[in-house]
This record gives sequence, structure tokens and C-alpha cells, in this order.
Amino acid sequence: MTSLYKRISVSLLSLFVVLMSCTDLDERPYDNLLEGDLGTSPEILDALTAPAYTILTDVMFGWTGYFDLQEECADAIVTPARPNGWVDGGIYRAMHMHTWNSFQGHGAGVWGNIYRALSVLNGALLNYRELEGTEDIINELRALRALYYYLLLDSFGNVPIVTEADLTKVGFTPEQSSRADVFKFIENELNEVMDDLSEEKVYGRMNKWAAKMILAKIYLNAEIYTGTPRWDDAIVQINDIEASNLYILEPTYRANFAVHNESSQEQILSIVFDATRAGWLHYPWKTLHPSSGATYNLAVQPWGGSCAIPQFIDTYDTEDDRLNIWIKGPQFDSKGMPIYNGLDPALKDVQLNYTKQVNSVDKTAEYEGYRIGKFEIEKGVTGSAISNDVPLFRYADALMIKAECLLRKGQANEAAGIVSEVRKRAFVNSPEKATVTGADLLKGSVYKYGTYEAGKILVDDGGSEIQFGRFLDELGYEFAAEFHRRQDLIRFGVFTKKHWFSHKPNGDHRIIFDIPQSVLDANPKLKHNPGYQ
Amino acid sequence: MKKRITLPFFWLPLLLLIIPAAGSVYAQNRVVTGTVKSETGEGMPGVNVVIKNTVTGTTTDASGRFSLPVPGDETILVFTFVGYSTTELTVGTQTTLNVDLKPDLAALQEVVVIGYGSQRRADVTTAVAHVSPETFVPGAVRNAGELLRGKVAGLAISTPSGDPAAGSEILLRGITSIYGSSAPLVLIDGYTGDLNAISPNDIESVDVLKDASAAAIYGTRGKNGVILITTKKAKGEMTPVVEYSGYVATDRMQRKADFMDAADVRQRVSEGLIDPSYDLGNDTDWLKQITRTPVTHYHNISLRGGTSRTRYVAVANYKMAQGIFQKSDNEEFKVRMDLDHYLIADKLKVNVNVLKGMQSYGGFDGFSYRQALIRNPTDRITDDAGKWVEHTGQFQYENPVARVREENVDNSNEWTWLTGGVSFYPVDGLELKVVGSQHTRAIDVGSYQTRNHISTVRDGKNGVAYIAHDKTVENFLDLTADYSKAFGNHRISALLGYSYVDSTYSGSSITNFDFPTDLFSYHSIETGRALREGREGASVNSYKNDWTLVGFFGRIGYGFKDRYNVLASLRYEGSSRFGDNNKWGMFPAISAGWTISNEDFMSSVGMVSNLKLRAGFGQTGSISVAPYSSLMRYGYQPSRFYFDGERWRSILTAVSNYNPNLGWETNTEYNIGIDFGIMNGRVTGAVDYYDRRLDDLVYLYPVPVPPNQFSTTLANAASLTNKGIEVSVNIEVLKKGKFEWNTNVNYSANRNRLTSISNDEFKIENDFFYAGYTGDPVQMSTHKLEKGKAIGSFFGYKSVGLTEDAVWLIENEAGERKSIRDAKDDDRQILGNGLPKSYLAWNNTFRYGNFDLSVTMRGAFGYQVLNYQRMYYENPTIAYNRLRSAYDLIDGKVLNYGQAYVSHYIEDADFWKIDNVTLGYRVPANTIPAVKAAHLYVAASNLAIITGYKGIDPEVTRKGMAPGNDDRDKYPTVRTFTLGMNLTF
Repeated sequence: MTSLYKRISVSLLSLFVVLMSCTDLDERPYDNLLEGDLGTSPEILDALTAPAYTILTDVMFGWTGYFDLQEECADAIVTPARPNGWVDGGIYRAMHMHTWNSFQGHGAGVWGNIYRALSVLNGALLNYRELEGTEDIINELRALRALYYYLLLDSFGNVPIVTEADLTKVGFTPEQSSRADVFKFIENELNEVMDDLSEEKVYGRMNKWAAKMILAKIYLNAEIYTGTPRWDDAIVQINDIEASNLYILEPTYRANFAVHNESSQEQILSIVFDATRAGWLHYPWKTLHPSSGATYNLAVQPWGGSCAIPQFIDTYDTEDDRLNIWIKGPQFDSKGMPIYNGLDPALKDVQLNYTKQVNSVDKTAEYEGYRIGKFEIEKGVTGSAISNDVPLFRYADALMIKAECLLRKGQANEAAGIVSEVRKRAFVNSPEKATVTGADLLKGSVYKYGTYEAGKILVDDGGSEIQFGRFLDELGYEFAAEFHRRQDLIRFGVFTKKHWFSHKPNGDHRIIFDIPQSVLDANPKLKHNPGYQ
Repeated sequence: MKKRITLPFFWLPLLLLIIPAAGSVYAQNRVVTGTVKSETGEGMPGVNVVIKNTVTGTTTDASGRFSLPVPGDETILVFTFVGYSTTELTVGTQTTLNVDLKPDLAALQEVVVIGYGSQRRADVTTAVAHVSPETFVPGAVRNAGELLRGKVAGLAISTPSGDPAAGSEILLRGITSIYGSSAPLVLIDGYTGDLNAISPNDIESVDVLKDASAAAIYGTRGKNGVILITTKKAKGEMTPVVEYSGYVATDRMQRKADFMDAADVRQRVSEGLIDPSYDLGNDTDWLKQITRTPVTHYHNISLRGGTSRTRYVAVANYKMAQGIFQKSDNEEFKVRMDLDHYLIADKLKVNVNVLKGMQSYGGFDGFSYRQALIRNPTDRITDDAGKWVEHTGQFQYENPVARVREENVDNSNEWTWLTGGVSFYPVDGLELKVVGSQHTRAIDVGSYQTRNHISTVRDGKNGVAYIAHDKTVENFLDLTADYSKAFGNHRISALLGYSYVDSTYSGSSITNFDFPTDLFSYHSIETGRALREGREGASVNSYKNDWTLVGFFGRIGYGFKDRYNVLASLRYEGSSRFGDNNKWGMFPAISAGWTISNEDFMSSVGMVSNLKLRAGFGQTGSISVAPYSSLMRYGYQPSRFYFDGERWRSILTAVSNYNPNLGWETNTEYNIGIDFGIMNGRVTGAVDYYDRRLDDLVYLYPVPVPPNQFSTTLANAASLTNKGIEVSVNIEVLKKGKFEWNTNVNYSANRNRLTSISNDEFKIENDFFYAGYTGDPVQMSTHKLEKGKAIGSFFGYKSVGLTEDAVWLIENEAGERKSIRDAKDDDRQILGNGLPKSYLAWNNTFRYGNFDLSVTMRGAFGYQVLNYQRMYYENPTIAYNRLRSAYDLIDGKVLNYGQAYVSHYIEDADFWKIDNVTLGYRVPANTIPAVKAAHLYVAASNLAIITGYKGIDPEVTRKGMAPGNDDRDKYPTVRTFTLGMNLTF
């Protein structure tokens, strides 16, 4: 028996020792790549670089994205409280009333996405610089990086410039740069790569002409960004773009925003969206009444709220074709039968009729307000996204930059020639209205600024005294709902001065947004923008 | 001959456990043999048999048999066993002695399971609570968690949902994690499992390791405390016993949300408060249309038996529980078998254990419940053509009856535990043990929405099918060497062990729609067109992950004279989920106890039968991160691509940052306690005070991008503290003739504080963050977590009335009042706290002859609840049906402002519940032929509630960082009535 015990003991003990050597704790995920898996194959490098472009879709139409950041705070679009909600803790109201702070989701989303793209770009540049024959892609990516910095420059001003992607520096946090330094950085970067950039049009990609648009944009706004105007420099860039003979004004305005707008010859740089493959262009859902789903056979019921500010609509010439980007009046389903209200059960038998009148930012009936239909809504979409591409820069934009610079330089008649050219396609039925004169452009705005409620302007805040106000109006017609309005209002001195709808001015510091709180939390070197805290 | 010892028990071991002398002073002239049996007639192994006033003795074998040389007829043998009364017998002329030991009910005698072993209650130095099945309420409990409710001070168990398949929420000594779970580790016979894995009837005892000095033996899994469930075992030689337990039960909704009915609507219409067009002319009780009177029945049959070498237990049970909502069922079938066999002169034990469970459940859908509440009560269910009435133009407004009838959901869950073990006893007191086990769990889900469902009627999907399957396989290996020995005044125990766990989780799911027919339900998912056409909403995915946990551990216990006890343990443990720099952690613990009542100077204090001081220190950990969290990972986006000007290409993005320092969360805990027993043990109890400091808590920190690739990093940088007191008192109030009354009171109080959310590397600059979410359409966070403040604080606008135009008048911290329209973020303040400051439970059992009555009550105090139903529906401006109270006057006005998160909806939620009342009758033996014992009972649970809370039940979820949010879609809690019986054959 004793030897049996021994044998059992020995075998148990040896089993213990063998089994206890199981101490391997290494990990290997099944559905992710690790750094060591990446290598330098073109397939992987392309896939790693791809987000540098696709993040543009998130920047523009991520929730509380760049579109909202530029429009919700301006004088053309508002997202008022609705019977189906849209109070959302007051975030849209804060945009309209200029009471946002560093916690505002609108800034955080845009900032986060842009810096995510910058991180991808810096990483990709690091990868390509180690390889031969990658100069073209490096130049393209540097220009693309400048584009993102331009968006930051415009919205946040004092942002950190990061060009390195050295991931070994754990704990490294970037320093904040002044708005003027960011301006200089963009200018230098673009000038360095400009001559080597491709002059060909590759749809959705950065080329020399798109890079020149970025330069033109920062020169147009240079006075705001740096205190020094650069009108002539802007004109030089636009002249180059004109001279390329690659772009034209599309004969019809709406062609730029059609479902299949990729064939438009007006687009200098487009953000490529696709209902199922790229981005989330959800604007129809954010603006339309739920019942309007029947007009477009939408599988997903809209949840909308956002609409036009009545005072802005009043500035249009009623024969301007561009007024039709707003969805207005009685609504019908796809078969032509009326569709009804219903959020308020008392109105369930009343045909849905989008009115120009909107009560106030705090209380709005379900049918109030013209809805935003800038992008054609494809019928029968199965999800909550449409496939239209979003033009970031188009030729009309280039021409209007040139016109504005000429106007500001005192060449009003030359400016009027360009503006008339751009207006032509909007007044096909009344061509005489297309033409404007230099004298027209020197007039003030027709926008009736002032506090508005329930269809009435309660306190008049002018508009006609705004210098080149008429030109500001032109920008409004051409670029309504094209995420231009905030920048334009700032340049014409309206943004922090005027009342419109429920909005009242709330401080000059609001020409830039505050650094998002999550960003301040993550990087102690960053400070609030001046005036915020 | 038998004499019941009434003196305190603790002097006995001194007498019995003296080092055997080299030789006996007595002549050994004959041998007495015999068997020691327990109260159930089973042979009892390990009983000490000693010749009185000597050191000569032996212990019984596995079958309870012993043989001992005795010097003469006058010899008195003393039989002792932990948990049983010591028995003395004079040998006389007999050569065979059969002894029946009687259990000693005094709490001191209990054996307490402490993880990888057990301890006499008298030796316990840590905060361990033992719950035996006698205190369980019989009848319709959903899982083992409900059995423990109110039984252990400091263990807060609630079941906020009335769903028959819902689990219990368990919190031991407060919130212990920010990112991870605060739920204690549940071990069933040593294996991680959930409380639903076995039937409550299959539980022998439950032990709760409350403090870190007790739980440190479980290392990185012990931080939140450990609940050890021991299943029923055969206890030696016994004639087979068959037991049957069964019950039938039904539920009623405890309280209903008080929405307007058709008559109320018409009344308000006549008062001009509602537009006449809202009255659609019908009268429908929507809630009634989707609920029912449920019936639940349960049957459990068990068989236990044993021969001298082989013991077995087999248990099978079946439950069919209907929920109060139509289609919400929970059907369970569980079988367990346990087999022990001794061989080689009882030196080797082989154990085989099999557990199998199957469950079909689900069907409750909170959104349908919401729709039933908010649907216009003057609307009708179907139109004249028999079609469901839908109003597709109204946002998030769907016919609840159609939702319930036009979707079928089948969920099934199946688990199998296969365990085999070998124990070897080479020398007395030493056990070498190898146990291997494999647990698999498979979950299958299938659902289908027909063409009459809103998904087609409104959204044109033409039938929506979903199938999902996932599977978890866990492998366990435990090696232990356990030694215990008593000699002289000394009692030592030592344990060394190794534990290995690996777990693999994998699964897949498919969603598809646009089917040619409804007839196939989800059984022919490939016939849907949406997936083929790449339409949004159709998807396929699969996933897999795995992790490994390896631990080495040891424990030493030492006791001297039953007065001084020390217990020390150490676990060295590594997890694959930790970062490269932090793979392994060390978790030490030490505790000591001084049994003052055993000191000589206390012998004169007759009132005090037990007085023990305990003090413990320990460190435990928790793994609060998913596998691969520490690695820098890149993932391909499944539905997003890049158009490079020519074609669509895949996108590869970083999905996490590298954090080689990612590790466990640490609990450093001090515990001091007193165990006491006075008036001859009629009053016993314990008081514990603990101070736990939780460090290295994981949080998802925002980090700058660049240089980081991803905007958040999981890191261990937050700290919080929990301090608390726990009091537990058991009183034998009355024992007179046939009448008996025992009562038990448990009280606990806890204070927590978030002490830090930053370290040198990871920071939240503002020292606060928000948590909780009101949901659509209010869309605000509900809670604020701030450094230096308590967890669970509601944060928002404090409403103090209505303005002239009937919108909320709010007051900020500075006392400034303004309309909510002018309120800024800065005007928000702390509005209350969702975590109870204290808990109290009072359990009573009464016995009169064969009748028994138990009444359990419990309450929670000092906390608030955010009443979502009021926040959303106590509002006359909403388009849908609303609570009757929506028209209650505030400052003499009816509210005229949209749904908002203000303090008006935060209510004090203190409550006192009569949790369970059970009346039972024990049928006298031999009344029923072939039945040895029978117990019949009726029970009512959730019988009554005293509270000022206006919602359905103030006992709401306390999990996570937003405790106290009473979700509007929550399955309402129910009152249950049970009729049951237990039979022993």
C-alpha cells in the first residue's frame, strides 16, 4: 500500500508541476490588427490613409457636425423646440442664442473628428516618408491637412498645431498656437506643396485647385483671422483656378445638389457620401416632419425640426429659383395625396403645410417653418442617409470670393459682372432680374434684423446700414444651407451685433467657439478661448 | 446515557485536541467499534472520538465508522464534531456503539465556507456571513439572489424588474467601480456562475465574504466581495431520500402608473383642457390588452443517498413562469448530479459532477409597455376591417397590441457544467486535490416581425428577421493542497493552490428584412432581399474573444486555545487582460480574532456566552476591462468605405490606444468587528465597521488626438472610498411550549466619496464628469460625479415653482431665481442622491406546533429617485396620453412647458416593504402513507409597501454611475401569491 501511496503522490505532484506551468498571458485579438501586423504593404497603407478623407463626412454631417456648427448659430436656420422634442437640454437654443460654452456638443464633435483626421494624416505622412516614390501622395496629404487646419482656424482660432506622429512619446501633449500662427502655418504648408500638387481632377480628392481654394478662403477672411486684409492675394488664387479652365458654373443650380451630383463640373472639392457606404448625410430626417416620409417613400420616419428663419426667407426675390431649396407649402405623398399633421392630435386631419412663419425658438407648431431641401432627397431610401455628395468648394464659391474682394477694393462694377453671371441661372424665367449693378452691391442688406416672434418683428435692428450688405444677401441666396453663413456674417460684421429671430447678441468673443471641454480636460496645456470661462 | 452539553462549546476542543501521548496509561484490553450518524441517519465522517479525560482517541472514517481500543467497561467516550452537540457515552459491556449526533443550533457551531475550504464559526476572523436554507423563504423566488434579500447586513439585493427572467442586482458594501461592475463574484461550488445557474432548492448554504481579508484569496476577482453557494451534497451512508417541492403562483401588478382613461380624457375635453378632436370615441384599456393573469408552476425532485463508499445526489427541476405581460415567459429545466466515490481504504476520493440547465425566456418589450401607457385611451385597437389601427404620422407612436402580437421572440439559453475531481489523503489532515471543469453556455435568439407590424406598416420593411447565437466556453483547473491539524492548544491550517481559467466567447448574428412571406418567420433568413441588396438595417456579423486568468495562492491559519486566531492569505494572480507592465498582481490579507469570552476572567460573566473581537486587513482586485483593452488595435470598418476617385476601398482605423500599465482595480480594506452572544446564546449577533479605499479605478479618459490615435484611453487613475457599518442581531424572543418566535434584524449604512479621478498621466481637468441620460426627447445627463463628492448625485435644475407664463421657475445655488428659458448650464446643482444611505431588514419566524409563519420586511432610507414616468408624462403639453396628475396645479397653475429634467420629478424614495409572508403547516409524520414528512405553505411576496414615492416602486436600479433613475419602460414589479408543498419520501 505504501508504495501505491507514493506512486499516487508522485504522479499527483508531477501533474501539479506540469499543470502549474500554464502561465501564458499573451493576447491575440481575433478581429483587430495589432501594430506589428501592419507592415508597409500598399493595401494596408491605403486603408490606413483612407480615413483622412472619409472623416470629412463625419466632420460635416456627424451628429452636431460642421454643418450645424456653421448654420445653427447664424441667421438663416434654427432648430426650435417642437412638439416632438428638439429641446435636447437646450443645445440648439444655445447655438441660436449664442449662449454656448465649452460643453457644447457642436464644437466637441467637429474638433474630435478633425483631430482624428489629423492624427491619421500625420501617421500616414510618417509611413510614406519612409518609402520611395511617394512624393505625390505626401503633397496631396499635406494639402488635405491644411484643409482641416483651415476648418479649425475658422471655428476655433487658437488651436494646437500637430504635425508629428511619433507614437512613442507617451504623455506628450501639444501646445496651443495663436490664430495668426495657425494662419501662417496653413499658408506656408500650401505654398510649399503648391507647385508639386496634381492639376488633374480626381473626384473627391485634393488637387492644386482645391488647395488654391483653401488659400483664397484664408485670404478672404485674413482681416478677421490676422487683422490684415489680403484681398489681392485671394484674387490671385481665384484667377489661377479660372485659368485652369477645368470648372464651369453648372447650367442649373440644383445640379450641384442632386442625388448623382458627382458629374457636376462646378465642384472643385466634394465630400463623397453614400447612403450605405460612406458618411451619414441625414439632413432630410433632421429637418422634415415625420409625415413627410410619405412624400419621399422613406423607410425611416423623419424626426425633424430644423427650419428656415422667416426673416431670411423674406430677403429672397420671389422669382429666385434658389428659393426652391426650401421645402414649403402644402405637402403631398408620393402619389399626390395630401399628408397630414399628427404630432398634435388636434391637427391630425389638417394637411401638413410648411409655413414661413415660425413662432419662436422655445415653442413652435409642428408645421411651422420652411424645411431644408438643399440636397435632393432620393425616393425610397431604406435607411436614414442619402447618397448626394457634398460640395465643399464649388466654382460659384470661387467666383463670389473674387467678386467680394473686387467690391471691397472699390471695383464694384467688376464685382457686379461676376455676381450677375452667378445669378443668371437662378432667374431663367426673368433674366432681367439676374443683372445687378455695382451701385446695387454697395447698398445695405434687405434682411430685416430685429427680434422676431410669432410673425412680427418686435424690435427693429436695421440691416440696410450694413456695408456691402447687398453682397452679403447674395452670399445668402447662393450658399444658403451650405455651411457658409457663420463665416460670412462675421466678415460683414453682423454675427455678434444683430438681433434675428429669438437671437440677441451675446458678446464679440463668440466669433470663435470655445475649446471643447473634453479637449481641455485631456490636455492641460490648452486654455479657453478669450472671453470664455 | 446521552447527555446534552449545555455549557459553552468552545472549551471542548481544548480537551479533545491534545497531542496524542506516546503511549497510553491504560491497558488496552478490548476494541469497541461503531458508527456515528447524523440527524438524517447518514454516517458522519471525521467525528472525533476520545476516551474521556485522556488524549487517546480516533476519528470516524468516511462512512462514520470508528474502532478504538478501550481500557474497561467504565470508559466514557466523548464524540465531538463541529456544528453538533458533544455526546458522551459509557461503553459498558457493549462492543458495538451506534451514536446519533444532534446538530447544535447555536450559530457558533456553524461551519463557514471561506473559499477553497471551510472554517468553524468560532475560528472566523473575517467578515463572513453564513446563510443556511432554514432562513430562506420558500416558494416563488426567481433566483438564489432573492433568497438572500435582507438576510445579510451590507448585502443589498434588489430585483427592480418584474420580468420573470430578470436577475437580481447585488451590491455589497457600496459602489466599488466606475467603469466596471460593482457586483460581487458568485461562486457555485467554487465556480463562477450566475445566481440563476442552479435552482434555489438545490442550495445547501450560502456564505458571503464581505471584507477584503476574507475575499483576498480570490485575488483579482474578490474586490466586490464573494458569494459562495454550496449545493446540496450527500453526507455519508444514508438510505436514499427522495424529496419533492412544488408550487403554483400568480402575480398582480404591485402598482400601476396612473394614466388617464377614456372618461378622464372626456372630462378634460369638457373642461376645455384638451382639444375635442383628441376624443376618438372609443374606450380602450391599452395596458389590459397586453397584460394577463399569469400562472407559474415549479417542480423539483431530488434524490440523495449513500453507501459506505459512494454518495450521490441527483436533482431535477422544472419551472414555467409567466410574466404579467403577454409573451413574457421564463421556462427553465435544470438537472444536477453529483457522485463521490472513495477507494483505496478511503485515501482517494473521486468526484463527478454534472449540471445542465435550459431556459427559454423573453418577450417583454419596454417600448410596447410605454406605447400602452401613452396611447390615446379613446382610440381603438383594430379598424372595421380588422386591421391594427396605426397613426404613422405620429412620431414614436405605435399600436402596442400590434407590437406584441405581430412579433415573436424566442430566446434560449443553455448551460452545461462538467466537473471531475480527485482528492488524495496521504496522511491525516492533508488533502491533495485536482479538479478540472468545463462550462459551456450557448444563447440562441430568434425574432420575427410580420408584415402587420409597424416595421412594415410604417417603414415598409416587409418582415424583419433577426437571429443570433453566441457561446462561451470556460475551462477551469484547480490544484490545492490543504492541511489542517490540531495539537495541544494549537490548531493550524495551511493551504496552497493554483488556479487556471480560460474563457472563449464567440458568436454571430444576422438581421434581414423584405421577405416574400411571413410563413417562414426567422427560419429562412436568406430569403430576405435586404441583405442581398446591401440595404441599411440589414447586417451580418461575427465575433470572438478570449481571456486567461492564472493564480497562485496560499493561506495559513493558526488558533491558540480557542482564544486567539490568525488567518493570513496571499494570492499572486495574472490576467491576460492586463497591460504588459502589469500582468501580475499580489493580493495579501491578514486577520485576527480574540475570543474574549474564552478568557478565564470572563468565566464569571455569565450573561456573555460569546464575545469576539475581529480585525482584518486585505487587498483585493477586480478586472474591469474587456480583453485586448491594453493593446493598440486597428479595425476595418464593416460598413464604411473610401472612394479613391475610382473605387471603394476598405478603411482601417485605430480603435484603441496602447496602455501597457492597464491593470486591476484595487480595494484596500480594513474591517473590525465584534461577534457576540448573550443570555445563553438567545441573543447573538455581529457588528462590523469597514473602511475601504478603492484605487486604480478604471475610467475611459479623454486624451489628446494627436499624439494619440484614439480619443479615449482606458486607464486606472480614479479612487473612491466606502465606509460603513453593519449590524446583525438574532434573537430567540420566545420559546414557550409549542410557541416559538425568532427574529433577526440587519442594518447597514454606507458612505462613499469619489476621492480622485486623475493621476499624473491621466486627468480630468475639471475634476468632474457627467453620467446617466434622460433619453429622448429630454436628452440631458442626470448625474454628476465630482471629486470629493458622493457617487450617485442627481445634477440639474432645481425647480421651485412656475413662472407667470407657467414654465419652470428654477433656482441656482446662489439662490437666484429665473425662468428655465433663461437658465444656463451653470444654474444646475446637486438635487439629491440615488444611493440609499442605509438599509434595514427585519425577519421573523413564528412557530406554533405544526404551524409556522415567517414575515420578512426590509427598507432602504435616505435616498432619492428620478421618476421618469412623471418627468415624461406628468405634462399636459405632450401630444400623447399623460398621467392624471399632469393637470395638478403647481403654484396655482397648470404647467405649460415641454418635458424637462427638473427637481420636481426627483422624489424621496425611502420605503419599507413587507417582502414576504409565508404561512406553513407541517403535516405530522405518518399521516400520509409513504410520505415521511410534508410541509404545505401559502406565501405572498411584495405584499405591501410604505413609501412616499409616487412611482411604481422606489426600489430601482442602483447599478453603475447613475443610480436612482426609474426608467419609464421598466417592467413593473409584481406582487406574487404562492401555494406550495414539500414532501419527503
